[in-house]
Amino acid sequence: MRVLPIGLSFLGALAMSAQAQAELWTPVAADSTLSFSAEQQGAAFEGLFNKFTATFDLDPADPTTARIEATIDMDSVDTLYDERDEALREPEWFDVERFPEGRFVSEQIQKAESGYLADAFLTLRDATQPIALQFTLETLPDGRLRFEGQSVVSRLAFGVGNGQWENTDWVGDAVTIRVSLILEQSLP
Amino acid sequence: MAQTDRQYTAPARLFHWVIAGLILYQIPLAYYMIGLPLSPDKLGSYALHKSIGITIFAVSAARLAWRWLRPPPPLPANLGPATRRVGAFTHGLLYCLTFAMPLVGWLSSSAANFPVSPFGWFTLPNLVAPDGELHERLELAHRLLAYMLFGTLSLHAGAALYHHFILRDGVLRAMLPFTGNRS
Repeated sequence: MRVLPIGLSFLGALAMSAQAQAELWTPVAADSTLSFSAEQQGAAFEGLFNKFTATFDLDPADPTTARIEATIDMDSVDTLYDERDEALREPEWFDVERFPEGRFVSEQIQKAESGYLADAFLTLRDATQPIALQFTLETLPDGRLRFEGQSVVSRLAFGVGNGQWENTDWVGDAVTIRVSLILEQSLP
Repeated sequence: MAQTDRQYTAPARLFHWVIAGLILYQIPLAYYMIGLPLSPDKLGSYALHKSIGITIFAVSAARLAWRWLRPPPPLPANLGPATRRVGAFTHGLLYCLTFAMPLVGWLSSSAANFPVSPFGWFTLPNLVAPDGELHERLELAHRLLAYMLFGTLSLHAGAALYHHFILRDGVLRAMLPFTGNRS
């Protein structure tokens, strides 16, 4: 009669693993932001990308198995100053005419001291560089997930700000990317 | 306290000429930077213009405090009330402008989401939320204040020369540096 409990627990484990399988999650646009902070004239300023999409192949119970992909509409850059946005769309910066999209693809995710660390590839213009994105993931009471990530990248590594803008006296090289997302499960 | 001394105190003269020098540097710098194409040099010139502007604001505040502690010497007794009033008005306007121009510039930078960092030492808070339309209005205000400054400065310098060469009453000498004549 010991077969039954074992059988039950086996079934339970099966159900668990089925439930723990990766699910598809996507950001709720209204509650999600992709922002960046850069230094100009010795002072930090903030900017946003208003349009981006992302898919998270994710098991909330074990984010280290996740695969994250995102596409950024580079034309949607918004630094709250039109003239600067126009300049950023020019060939010297994002060159949105030739490179309308930025891409983010995660490679490997590991547990970090607080939260997780995703080794990923970021593509801006025609340059693809490895970056490290630190993030935390939290399940909200309504079942949605809060994803908060941050990565510091070198703009020059991507050729963002080329020619005269390789000078970093007045526009710093380091750019902090911040990702703040509310994820909801999307039907496959 | 009977103030028979006809000369401004040394700190008062230092404040005056430091601010004068900075303003005279700001004006050509402004025209130079406006004319530049977008470039690191342009950003650097704007950064310098803002840094000097904030310096003018700070020195003007110190100057005003000093003026309150050590009032300026009396004007020559033979000056009529109308002349005194024009002088007081011009000086008042110049004081206002040394505060208003940096402040409007700072506001304008804030509205454009260009935080101001004097000489890169520290970053001033943005005074208003970024707003393109507000930025344009503030930029226009900064320009109009500049024109007002040109007019007032011309009147001020002209009056100083008038006192010195026509009236020969020592009003300019009261503010000149390196004139240790305190009798």
